[in-house]
Amino acid sequence: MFHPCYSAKQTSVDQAQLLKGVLELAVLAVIAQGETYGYEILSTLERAGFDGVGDASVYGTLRRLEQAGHLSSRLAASDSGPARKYYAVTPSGAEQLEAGTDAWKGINGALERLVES
Amino acid sequence: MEGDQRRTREAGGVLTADDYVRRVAFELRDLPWATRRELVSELRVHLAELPPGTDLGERLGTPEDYAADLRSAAGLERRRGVVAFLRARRPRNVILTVMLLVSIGLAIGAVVWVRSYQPIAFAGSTQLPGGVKEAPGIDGNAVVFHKGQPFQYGFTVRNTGRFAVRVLGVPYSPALPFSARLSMSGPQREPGMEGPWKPFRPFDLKPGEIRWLVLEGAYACHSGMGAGTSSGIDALPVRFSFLWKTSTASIPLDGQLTFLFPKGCRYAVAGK
Repeated sequence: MFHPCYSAKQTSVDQAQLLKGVLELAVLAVIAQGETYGYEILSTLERAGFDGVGDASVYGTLRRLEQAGHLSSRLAASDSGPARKYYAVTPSGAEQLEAGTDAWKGINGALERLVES
Repeated sequence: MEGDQRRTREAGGVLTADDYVRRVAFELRDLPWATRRELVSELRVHLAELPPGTDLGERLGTPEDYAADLRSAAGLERRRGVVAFLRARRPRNVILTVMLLVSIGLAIGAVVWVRSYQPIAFAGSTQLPGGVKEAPGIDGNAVVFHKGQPFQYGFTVRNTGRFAVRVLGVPYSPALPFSARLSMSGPQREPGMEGPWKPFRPFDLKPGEIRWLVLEGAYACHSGMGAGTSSGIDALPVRFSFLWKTSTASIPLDGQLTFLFPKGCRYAVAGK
């Protein structure tokens, strides 16, 4: 039976909570590599190891980031079906990514030091 | 959409991509129409991107779970209330509905107004029958009934409204102690006497226009009256039409006209 949660599928609540905190950053990081669309973002996240991320969570995050002005979007025709929505990081999104990455590195470093001590 | 190639199985049967999208849209029905359309459109594109044969339930969860995750991740709270209800409707449909309701309201208002439109009023002049006199204890004018004697009574009507009406006549009333044909004057702006009258034909009474309506005939018994009794009229009915409506206006006169029956009046049944 399928048990959905905020940002992960078929995974534990703990992992879902961890992903919830970092998903926004991960999505910004993927789009910062170049203009891309929803399905490709999901595929990139899965390849990077975010294989438990739910599709709905990614699309919801994309909408929230766009509403916050961190992403811009445009529709472009695709060869295989309906027009895709391509996302790009705005200057405010780049700042958000930089600040978030620094914060994440700080948290990660602190956690590593705690675990190793 | 390649709906046939992407589906999932449910207790109720196979759920196609179109069914999936429809159910997600239903779960998001409280969101503003533009937001819902955008989210649903993006889901359609996403389902089209999925490899053929993808099990939607396994990949995305149930439509209800997908909608809940989407709502949660996007920060879209469930909305309630009249405003949310209206915003969730397609703007074009809201506009059409409002226009329809306004049109219905205007139509009802127009019907009510037409039904109540009665612009005909007494114009201030009457032509009293011969032999009229003031009688003690009687308000207005009085005339003695003489069966078979000539009778003439005229009154003026004016259109006090902004639209023309068609005057159709003065309905016969068995209470009136005379038999008469209706005559009329031409259109006037002031209620001056303009005889001779011409036979009545229905006519349009334009705004501000005045016409004489004259009852010409002879005293007659249409109902029995005892000796020493009297009867009176203080208003006369005028039949008129306006647009699709035909009705009768009671036109109050400038004073009561009383018929005195010193010898009574025996009602004669036809043929006897």
